[in-house]
Amino acid sequence: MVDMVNGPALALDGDPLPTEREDDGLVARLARGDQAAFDALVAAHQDRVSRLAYRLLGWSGDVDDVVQEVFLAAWKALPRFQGRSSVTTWLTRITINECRSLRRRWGRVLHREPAETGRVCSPAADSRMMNGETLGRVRRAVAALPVRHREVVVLHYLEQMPIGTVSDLLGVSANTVVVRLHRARAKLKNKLSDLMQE
Amino acid sequence: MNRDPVETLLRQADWAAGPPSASRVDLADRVRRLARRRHRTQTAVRATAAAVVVIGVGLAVHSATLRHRLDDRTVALPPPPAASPSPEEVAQLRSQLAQLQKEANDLAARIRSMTAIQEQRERLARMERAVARLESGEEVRAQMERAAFTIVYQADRMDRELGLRESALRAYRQAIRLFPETPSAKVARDRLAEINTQGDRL
Repeated sequence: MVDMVNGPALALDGDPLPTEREDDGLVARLARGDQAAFDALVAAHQDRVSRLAYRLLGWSGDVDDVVQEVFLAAWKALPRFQGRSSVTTWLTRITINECRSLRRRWGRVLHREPAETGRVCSPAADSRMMNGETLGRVRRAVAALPVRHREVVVLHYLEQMPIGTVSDLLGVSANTVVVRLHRARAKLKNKLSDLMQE
Repeated sequence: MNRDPVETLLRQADWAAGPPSASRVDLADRVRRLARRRHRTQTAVRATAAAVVVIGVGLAVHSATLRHRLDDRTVALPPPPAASPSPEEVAQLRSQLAQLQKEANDLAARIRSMTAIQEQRERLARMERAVARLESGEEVRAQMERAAFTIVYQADRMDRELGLRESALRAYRQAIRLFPETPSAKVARDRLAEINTQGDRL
């Protein structure tokens, strides 16, 4: 059983996050203005940032522009980055802020349905797979959550971050994260109870 | 073990949504170019704005000076009927005013032009990138890899999380058959070999 407050952070799809040692090396090189270090930073974190942005924006749309803006903000903030937090945490905070800015600019969560992903499930598996209509319901339910609730849901359930890590990222107490999760769960259960298998 | 139904539903939705768009290999270069371009634009806009302010202040001061001079002349001139500056002075002042107005208009036009040029450059850069992707076949290859990746990604989840081994095997074989040259097809081959090895051991 993973310690949900202090356990290790692991992305949902099993990709290991860049290690602290790798990040320390990068921070030192970035501080020296090593251009190749920025290339390495982008290569190491691009997929993770893309996946996080995709989830924070409701699994819709092309997140290329958002990812570009995240790394552009990181490039501009490099002179001020002192390595007090890990590069992973730093980039995650930037990604969260960029997604918030995008939602403020557009005034809504992007609701464009994702393109067909080429599902190959057999008929026998249909009962456990999710069709487009159900996915749409779940997405709308998550999109209807207040921004602060949606963020904790994505970070804790989908990014598999412990409560402590989520509270550090968002700059709120662990208790606040727990309360937001509790309220988000109640709202999701209210809207999607027929889809949940207890 | 009873899994949290909310978490299970969210993870299913995340899986069904598929992965985001494929990663771009030139992202670091694009970021640096974009940073330089925006810095140049901001510098140009600030310099132009400063020039406009200076000219505006200059115009205001000049106008105040002109009014002061006209007032002085008016006071110094003898009483009516015809106390007015000479035609040459009036013509000279009008000419100076016209010149300043022209400079202000030119500056405003340059600002508008620079803004339009910047917008066109950005549009052109976006179009060039799109054309380059199409011409190099990169977009097609990226789409193929994305499709193969999606199939293998879902096959992994079917095998490892839902226990649907047969469906996963069909998916791996489909990825290899449809997109044999992609990196994800290699991953699918590795997965099949691994599963076959496990089967031999049993």
